[in-house]
Amino acid sequence: MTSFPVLTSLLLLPLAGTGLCLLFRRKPDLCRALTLATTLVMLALCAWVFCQQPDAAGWYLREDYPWIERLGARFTLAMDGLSLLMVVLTAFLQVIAVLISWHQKKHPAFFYALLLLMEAGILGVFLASDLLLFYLFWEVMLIPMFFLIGIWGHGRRVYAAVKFFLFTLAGSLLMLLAIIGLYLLHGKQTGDYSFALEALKHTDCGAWEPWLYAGFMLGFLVKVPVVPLHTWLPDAHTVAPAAGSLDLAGLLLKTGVFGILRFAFPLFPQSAAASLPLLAFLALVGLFYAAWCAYIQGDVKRLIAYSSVSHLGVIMLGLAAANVLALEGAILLMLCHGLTTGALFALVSMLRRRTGTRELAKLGGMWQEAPIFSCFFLFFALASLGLPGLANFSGEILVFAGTFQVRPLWGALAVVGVVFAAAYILRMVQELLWGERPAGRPWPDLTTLEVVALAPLVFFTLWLGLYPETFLAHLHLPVKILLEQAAPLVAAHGGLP
Amino acid sequence: MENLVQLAMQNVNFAAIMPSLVLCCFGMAILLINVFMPRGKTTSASLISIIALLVTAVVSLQGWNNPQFGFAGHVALDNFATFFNMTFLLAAGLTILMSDDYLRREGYPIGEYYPLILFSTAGAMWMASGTDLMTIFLGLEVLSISLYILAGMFRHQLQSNEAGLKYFLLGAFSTGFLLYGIALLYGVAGTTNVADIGLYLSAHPAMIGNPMTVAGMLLMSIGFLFKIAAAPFHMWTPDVYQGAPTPVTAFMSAGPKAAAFAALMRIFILGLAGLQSEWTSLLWGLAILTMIIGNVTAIYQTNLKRMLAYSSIAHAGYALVGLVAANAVGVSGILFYMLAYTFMNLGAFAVLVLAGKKGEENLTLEGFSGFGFKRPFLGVAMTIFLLSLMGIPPTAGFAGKFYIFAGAIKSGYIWLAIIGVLNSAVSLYYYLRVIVYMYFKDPQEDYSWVSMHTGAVVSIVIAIVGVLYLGIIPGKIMEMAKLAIF
Repeated sequence: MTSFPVLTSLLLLPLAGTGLCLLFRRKPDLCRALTLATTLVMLALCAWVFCQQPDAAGWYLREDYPWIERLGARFTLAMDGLSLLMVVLTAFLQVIAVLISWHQKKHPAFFYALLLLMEAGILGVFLASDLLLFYLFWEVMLIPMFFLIGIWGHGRRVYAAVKFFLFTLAGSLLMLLAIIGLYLLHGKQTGDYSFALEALKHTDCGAWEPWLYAGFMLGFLVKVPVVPLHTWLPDAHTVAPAAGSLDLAGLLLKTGVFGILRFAFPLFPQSAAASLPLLAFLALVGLFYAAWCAYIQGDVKRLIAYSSVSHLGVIMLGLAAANVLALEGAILLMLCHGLTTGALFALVSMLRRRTGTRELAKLGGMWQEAPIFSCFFLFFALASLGLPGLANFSGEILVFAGTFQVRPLWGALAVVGVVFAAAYILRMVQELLWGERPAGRPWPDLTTLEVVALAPLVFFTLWLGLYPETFLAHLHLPVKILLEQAAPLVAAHGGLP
Repeated sequence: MENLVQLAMQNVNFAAIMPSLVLCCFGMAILLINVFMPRGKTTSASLISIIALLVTAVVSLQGWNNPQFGFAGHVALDNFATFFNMTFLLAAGLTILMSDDYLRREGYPIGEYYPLILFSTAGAMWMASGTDLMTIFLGLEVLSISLYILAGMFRHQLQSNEAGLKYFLLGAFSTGFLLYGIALLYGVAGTTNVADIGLYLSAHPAMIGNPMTVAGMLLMSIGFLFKIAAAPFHMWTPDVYQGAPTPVTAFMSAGPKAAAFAALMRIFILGLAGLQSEWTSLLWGLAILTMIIGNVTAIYQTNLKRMLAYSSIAHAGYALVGLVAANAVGVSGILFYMLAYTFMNLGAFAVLVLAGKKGEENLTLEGFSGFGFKRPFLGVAMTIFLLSLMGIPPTAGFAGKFYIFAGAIKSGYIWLAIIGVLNSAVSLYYYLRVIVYMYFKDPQEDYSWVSMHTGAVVSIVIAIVGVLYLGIIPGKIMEMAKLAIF
């Protein structure tokens, strides 16, 4: 441990970058360089933490400052293995996001400022260990995304942006009520009014527990999103700019799952245990329904958006299985999904920039036209499908193994769902890369910059697929602690480990 | 006779009325100065007004933790009054800052404008520090009469005339109700002193259920709820807000509302504590009605001044939730909320003042298409104010709503809190629409006619700092709000 406030600087750096970008808004090149520099420094900081060892309680870093003492809210940031991986993913994807929006023409300074502001918000969500602080960041990260979709989106951007904002905010307002309720209950019981997560875990919620749990879960499930709360996602993805889609799929969706693991499960273990079958049901419905929707989409981006919902079904199933294997698998799958789906969204944006369309019917024959693009596309599509040796496979296999341990039927159903994934992915690949090339002007292949942006994603997709232990090693302790704290979760499946 | 004079002199304590005294003296001085100034030169009047407000703020702060009573229990300069005084002074200050260039642009550089604002601020102060129903009534009248004039000040504009007349007629009518209520309560308790009424009612519990007491309470509430713009006494708000000069509207939305809340809180919590179950159930229903009417109607507005008028109705509803909760959290929440609302709403109005164009032609949603990119500072400022009005962290609006809803939940009004939160969700829609127009629509024009007047820009900067300060580190002000309640 060092005395240097690493976590606070992880939040302040992007905020400073935002301020600078707004200040130098007439110099787009400077803003771009500043943004890239900021994200690289953040990544370096994260990489440094990644090489550290946690203390016995699983914390890598903890920082605690007084904030609103009158309410008992503190500025508490904490990083355990789970948040570490999420933070690393955020810092990594944000570098890629800057690279793929290098040639941003429309209001570039404002664009980069929002990217950095969003990074601050998302990191805050992953690091906050005080419920009020968490809620603050939870809302803060919405606003930049709202602007990214609304200003730089295509097509029905206003509709999609407003829908995104209203859906997610309506969900989180109920979470706010639940937070206040929990805070008051805890205060009444102990006389200590506090928003500290660790303190609130010991609250005896009594009859209120299901309601509070429902409030939290509504906020999180909208964000995941779980069918039937998912309808904002395809719209948002379809219109969002490249970096927006990357962040949306790679990071924003993860905050929902993260919230469940960090807050909803440990705070309300009894209700959580009771809700596991329902969660599993929703997860399976989402898995199949979204896969089916993906299969019939004509728009490549919309197809990938639905595939995203489907993958999150697998992740939610991992949460519902609630044992060591499944949880570690689910968290690993979050990383993998962030990389592969993020990469696919980036590729689709590159495709659209060249062809002016994303309609499968108007596309085809990319393999001959743009071989480098096609290689990348095929690689990430196969990873998304769950090809062994690539990222998603390692996560999915762990989730399935874990699920089979406790509920073989759920596992069997989910494996069938993966066959569906193969169907829509292969259809997309087949129609896009092969098929008939429509007449028209030539489609240039990827530029060096685009290759540079995609190469790190390939590297980590392979790493996650071939040797996930590097990342899993950080997860063993937090998952163990989570299952200890939320003992009823384990008991729900007959006390299996 | 000698005895009477002596008695009166004993009770004289100028320290208790010093803030409003200073303000009135300055106001009258400015009236005199105006006589000797050439027509149309109002800048010096506005500068003197700002100085007046600063001096008054310093004087008023002497009362913090140093309560002053005087005039036979008619006036108290306690923490409660001081907190509200600061809110009024802030509202008046921001209003005056944004006014000077606006008045010149609209062709009404009238020197009397500033004294009227100062007088109405003084009236608001009497309402907050009055501990006798008559003092409170006096304050209300001083406040209102100045505002009637201000609302109708653009005398060649029909809308402004309409606003002034409407406000005057309905205001006078509601004052009648208030007086009737005071008379009935005097009939019951034999006194108009708020604390004595409370003592009388607790000594004679049988009188609590007496129809005369209840009727007095109801009639008096009408008078104050009218000023707060709570439904169903809100009908005047949209027309008056839209017709009145924009800075006046800004002042009306914050100052009188806070003043009426101050009076209502003092009377209900100190004087009518015995009737708490009655007024709680009354306000419970009115809070819900006010929130719903304000928010739902605001959705249909295309004129921003009118939209903010309905939004101010909705915010009155949120604040009423704190009064229903009637615990320390909720009541100090109202104090906090009024201050937060002053910052965010006056900030939003200051942007409207600049963006309004001569003759207030540019106040529709379409008029703001692409405004955010053409005028980046004003766009970002407006966005911050709107986010605060929505109640998104980290802004003052969030902290205020959090405080008030926490108070409601603490007192067991879970449903009220849920309805309040759902109303906030509805309000997202119309606030968001302004942002949508500002940033997501292509600009129709280049907004080159927006000139950044120093005064208005200063008030916007103050408002931004206030909104963010109250939103990010609200602890200190929350502590003060807690110390300020009874």
